[in-house]
Amino acid sequence: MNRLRLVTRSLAHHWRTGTMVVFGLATATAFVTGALVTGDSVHGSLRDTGLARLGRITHAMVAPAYFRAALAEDLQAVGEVSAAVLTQGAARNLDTDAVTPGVTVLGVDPGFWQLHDAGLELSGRECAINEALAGDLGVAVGDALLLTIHRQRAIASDTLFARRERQDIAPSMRLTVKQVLPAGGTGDFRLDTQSSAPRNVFISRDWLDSSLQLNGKANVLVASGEAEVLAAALEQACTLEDHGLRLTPNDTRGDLDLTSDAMLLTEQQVSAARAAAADAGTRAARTSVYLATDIATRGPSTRAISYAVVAGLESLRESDPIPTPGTAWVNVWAASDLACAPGDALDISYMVPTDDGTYPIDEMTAPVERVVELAGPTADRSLVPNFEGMTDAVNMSDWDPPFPIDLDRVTDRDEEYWDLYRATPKVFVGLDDVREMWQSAPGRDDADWVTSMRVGIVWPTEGDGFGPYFSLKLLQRLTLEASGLVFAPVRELTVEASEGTSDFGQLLLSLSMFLVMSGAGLAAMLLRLSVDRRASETGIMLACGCNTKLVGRVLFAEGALLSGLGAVVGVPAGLLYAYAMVAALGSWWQGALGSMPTLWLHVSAGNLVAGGVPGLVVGLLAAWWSVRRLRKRRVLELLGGWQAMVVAPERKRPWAAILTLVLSLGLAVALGGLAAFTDAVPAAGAFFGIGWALLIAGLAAAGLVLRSLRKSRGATQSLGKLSLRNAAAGGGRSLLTLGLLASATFMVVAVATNARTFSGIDASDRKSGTGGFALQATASVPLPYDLGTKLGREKLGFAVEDEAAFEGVEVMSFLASRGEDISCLNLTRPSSPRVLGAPWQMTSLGGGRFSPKVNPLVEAPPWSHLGGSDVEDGIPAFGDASSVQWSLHSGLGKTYAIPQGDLRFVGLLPGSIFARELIVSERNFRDLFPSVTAPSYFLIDTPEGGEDAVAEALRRNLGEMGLQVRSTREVLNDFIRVQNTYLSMFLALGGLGILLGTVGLGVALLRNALERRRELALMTAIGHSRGSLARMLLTENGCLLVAGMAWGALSALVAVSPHVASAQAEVNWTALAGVLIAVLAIGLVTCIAAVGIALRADLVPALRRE
Amino acid sequence: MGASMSNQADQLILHNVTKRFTRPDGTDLTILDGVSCTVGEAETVAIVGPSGSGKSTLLNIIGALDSPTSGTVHLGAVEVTALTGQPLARFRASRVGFVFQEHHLLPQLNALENVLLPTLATAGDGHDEAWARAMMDRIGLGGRMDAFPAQLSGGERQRVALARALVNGAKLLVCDEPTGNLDADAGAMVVTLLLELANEEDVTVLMVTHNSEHAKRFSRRVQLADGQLSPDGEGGR
Repeated sequence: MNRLRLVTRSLAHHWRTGTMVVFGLATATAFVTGALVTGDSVHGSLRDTGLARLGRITHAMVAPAYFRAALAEDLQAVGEVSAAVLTQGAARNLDTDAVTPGVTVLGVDPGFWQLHDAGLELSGRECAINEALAGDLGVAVGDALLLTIHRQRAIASDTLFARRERQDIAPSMRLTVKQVLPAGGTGDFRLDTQSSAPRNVFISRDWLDSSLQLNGKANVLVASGEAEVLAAALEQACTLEDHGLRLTPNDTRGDLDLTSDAMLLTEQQVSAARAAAADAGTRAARTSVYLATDIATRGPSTRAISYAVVAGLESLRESDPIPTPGTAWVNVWAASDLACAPGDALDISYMVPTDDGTYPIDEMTAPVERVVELAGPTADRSLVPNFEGMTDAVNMSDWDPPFPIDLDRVTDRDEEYWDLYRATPKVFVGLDDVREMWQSAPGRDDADWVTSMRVGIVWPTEGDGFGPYFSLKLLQRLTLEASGLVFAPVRELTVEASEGTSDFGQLLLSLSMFLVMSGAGLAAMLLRLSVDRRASETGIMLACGCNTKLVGRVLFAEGALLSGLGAVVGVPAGLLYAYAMVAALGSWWQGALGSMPTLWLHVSAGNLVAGGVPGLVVGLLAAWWSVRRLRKRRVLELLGGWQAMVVAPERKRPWAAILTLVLSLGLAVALGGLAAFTDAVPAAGAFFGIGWALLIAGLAAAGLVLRSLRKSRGATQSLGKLSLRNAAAGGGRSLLTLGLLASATFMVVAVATNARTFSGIDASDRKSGTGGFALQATASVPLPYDLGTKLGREKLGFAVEDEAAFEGVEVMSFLASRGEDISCLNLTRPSSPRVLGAPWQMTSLGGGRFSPKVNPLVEAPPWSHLGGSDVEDGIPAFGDASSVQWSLHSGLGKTYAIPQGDLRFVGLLPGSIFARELIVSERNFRDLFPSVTAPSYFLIDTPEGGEDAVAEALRRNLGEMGLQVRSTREVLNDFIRVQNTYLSMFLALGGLGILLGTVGLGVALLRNALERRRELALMTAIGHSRGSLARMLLTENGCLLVAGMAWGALSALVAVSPHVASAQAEVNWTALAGVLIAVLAIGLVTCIAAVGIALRADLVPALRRE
Repeated sequence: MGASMSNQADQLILHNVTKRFTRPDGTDLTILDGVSCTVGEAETVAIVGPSGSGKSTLLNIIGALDSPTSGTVHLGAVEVTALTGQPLARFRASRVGFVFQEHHLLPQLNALENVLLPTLATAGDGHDEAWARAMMDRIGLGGRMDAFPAQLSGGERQRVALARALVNGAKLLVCDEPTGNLDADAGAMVVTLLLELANEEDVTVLMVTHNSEHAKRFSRRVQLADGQLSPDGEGGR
């Protein structure tokens, strides 16, 4: 005989209880393990999906402007590097006309496929598309599709010289699908860390280059290599051309010209050029030119010239004369045409580009200060950068500029000048005068305006020798960061992002908490019951000389073995649960993961251990606690067997219960009053408080009722009354049962009824999450003209007959950056959120739209907080309250860093359509994202009933350009669908938890019945049948079950009544009722089973023991 | 009450043992009122008395299952009433054997294992399994060693309980109505066995019984009434 034998014998003898203990612990363990493994599976799947999309790519550079594709070859020595062209577009199935907007277009080289260990070769019009796009479009290999892509121009789209016509910015090309790439790998390639599957079209970069006339340029580099090595090599390899700059010797002047592909040099480039010139011991001077529509003299014999270039110069050398600010120098040719002389006033008119595609004329007046010869610096044709369609024209009559031009006004003399001097400026004014011309367009008052820099040559005197030297100096002053030429560690970012915005395992664990607690509670109760039932065995062992330590160890060892067994059974069961959960998240509960494409099981030893430990610990604690209770008892008491139910003597007055009842009822009345007569508490919050108060009041009242029942007479008049008396005699235990059931039911009902839909809301309510906008539109190709004006729509190609739909329609156009979705639909942790630039109409007139929550101490209209110019602590930004809190883990007043700079949240929007992105003012947006100059995000306020017609007109006219129009209700429903799915999960898991809890109720009943065996034996002895005893026990416990669940459900319904009565409620009453009825039924069945077990054994020995 | 003083080493001496309980109304109920007596080694004593007279209480105090309100109990040189914790458990394990009216066998252990249960407490200081097997033969259950308590008759269970009480070499056997639940034949058999084994093993026996026939077979009989112990009027063996 040894302890182990005793332990194993005991376990074998009490196998039924042991099995239940193992079941309870295994349940708790399974749900903990399952939740952790599922959480790990979500994160692991995100990581694997992200990495599979990248292939062997470790770093990527996505530049805002084009650079030399040959840069990739320059970097080959330090790693595998491939250049690509990345842009957005829309694809159309030519057979069905189905259009998919938001398509990512990638022009790639063979090196790209090698980085994915794939051997795909694309040429000409061949394309490869990913499975998601093939599914959307319904195309297969060999099918044709029409791709409309955003042709990103170097020249900012809001300048006079920008080409904005549809065919210029959104050319279409017919392609043939060569291959459909399977989901989850290269086909789903994306360089941001977003979880959703992109819609990708891969084309040969060479072909795309020739189609878009990119001249060997690319805007993306993908690489496999070491970060430091790549960065160092990039620094070495980058040329001025990669920064979008050109440095050319100017033979006319004998100095150097620095110009930009973007036509205008940025402030940073100007500063860098000045600094580099200083480094080289010389100076750099700014130049700016603009096209005057007309230059005319005043007076009765006014004369004018048309389409002449006006230049503003800065002195390169102190000796260089320049026009006095506010005056003009006219070259002899123009002076002759104008018949002007120094002192005459010139009216210079010029076109100003606007969003609606019109070019209103602005004017400035300058007196002629000097007439200059067409020689030397004033005869410098290179002052004018290349304007496509103008400077490359043979004759002026061949001009094809992006702005309206009246070629009838071009004279023979103009043509003669063009032949001799091309675009050489005819008039020179102060630099600031030209600056004003560039910045007179709406919203461009701080835009770039310098067209070139002149750099003096000091050493050596030959231009060829100084040029490379200055280039080197300039490159040292230009930062790669400023030009966006920086490799991002995309692989590392993908791994980081896969950790997600929140721990899905913890989330699932909290949803499963009822189940875990029920399982653990059940096991603990059973262990205690088991030990209690074996009190006499303990007594025997003590009487036989075994000390309490030994007895305790034996009992504890049994508990420990059962706990271990629970963990051993629970962990594999947890894996099954995780498997089922992964399947459910891929089907019924797909909404919980937003746009996550695939999910598969990831199992780690750490999670299995972490999942097994809690159940084990609970079991060990329960065993220790049960044994500890026995150790406090006397041997003789233990030898006597089960402890009889003890009816505690009543306290004189149940003050605690009365006080609780009064306070909770008082709270309910106070909250009701506040909600009804004031705005101090929102109705939803007040009713939730009332519900909880009612729940607590009900429990306090139940305590008082039980107390009065204990004191009532006539318990022996009927078995029913005796049952109630017995339930009352249970005192604390009955109240605890009632409280647990009521609370659990309250939670399940209150949470499950919170499901909502926005389908029925009034979208015109400006205070709501729609901001009063009925429609939201996003464009794959930024729209160069104002969608909100008739002229703009005309320019965008809208059919005339569609204009009627836009009567009374207001459109807010937002600039939008590339970036990641920060809403709950994206599971990955965003590192570069998408940012919107809110137009001035929004920041100045936004007023109460969306009800932003701002700092109440700042007295200003809410949206004006966004327009603040104080950017020292971060650029003022708005964000959706939930996205900011849960995805970005930030809050009001806090600073949040994005790659382009720091943002500071000055306002939060509750439950809004802006859940996916952050908002800054348009002015600040332009500073952050200078390459984005046209809007691609629109909110549309339509007159009542006009929503559908507007949406249809937009789709009809801009669908091919990838304009996606959605009702704002649909947008809100996308976000709420995630929450609703979690609520469904909670209903299912919470319902299962209560169900398991009712098994615990059965165990409690069994324990109670066993403790009362002597009482039951006595009742048998005095003539009660087992059936009547069973009815008595069932009545006792059934009353508690029904009362607890009913009160919990009722209180919860009061708590959620404002929501349930609202148009947003979308409660699945059938599922809820089904869960509650199932819980009630299982609870009753469990009670019946427990009563059966308790009464099955022979009661006579118990009576004899008495 | 007189005392037989054949051997001082394992003499049982009760000195002024008193046991009081407090009633719910706060008044005291005295069960044992200054009981004193001496029992010699290997002496067999039957304790008789009316129900509720405190016979079981007295046995529980002697067997160190309960403690007196005042007074002392000595077994040899050991003051039993002063023992607590580990020494108390060691005392119960090695010096005293109990047989109750209910057999109190562990249902999960077979007969042999139940006999060996006390050896858990002594870790090999008592008799071994061979002794237990021999004892099972001795008590006529050699063929029932693997039977579980539920498979044994009432008399057989009490015989197993008797063997269990002796397995650790106890020199004091405390029996609380071991025949109370048995029929006359089975009861007589258990008492016979008890006295034979006591004789063979030199064990002192104290047995509470209501059966005067069984009491007569003991070397001494005492009566407990009104909290006092006195020699029983009926003659003995």
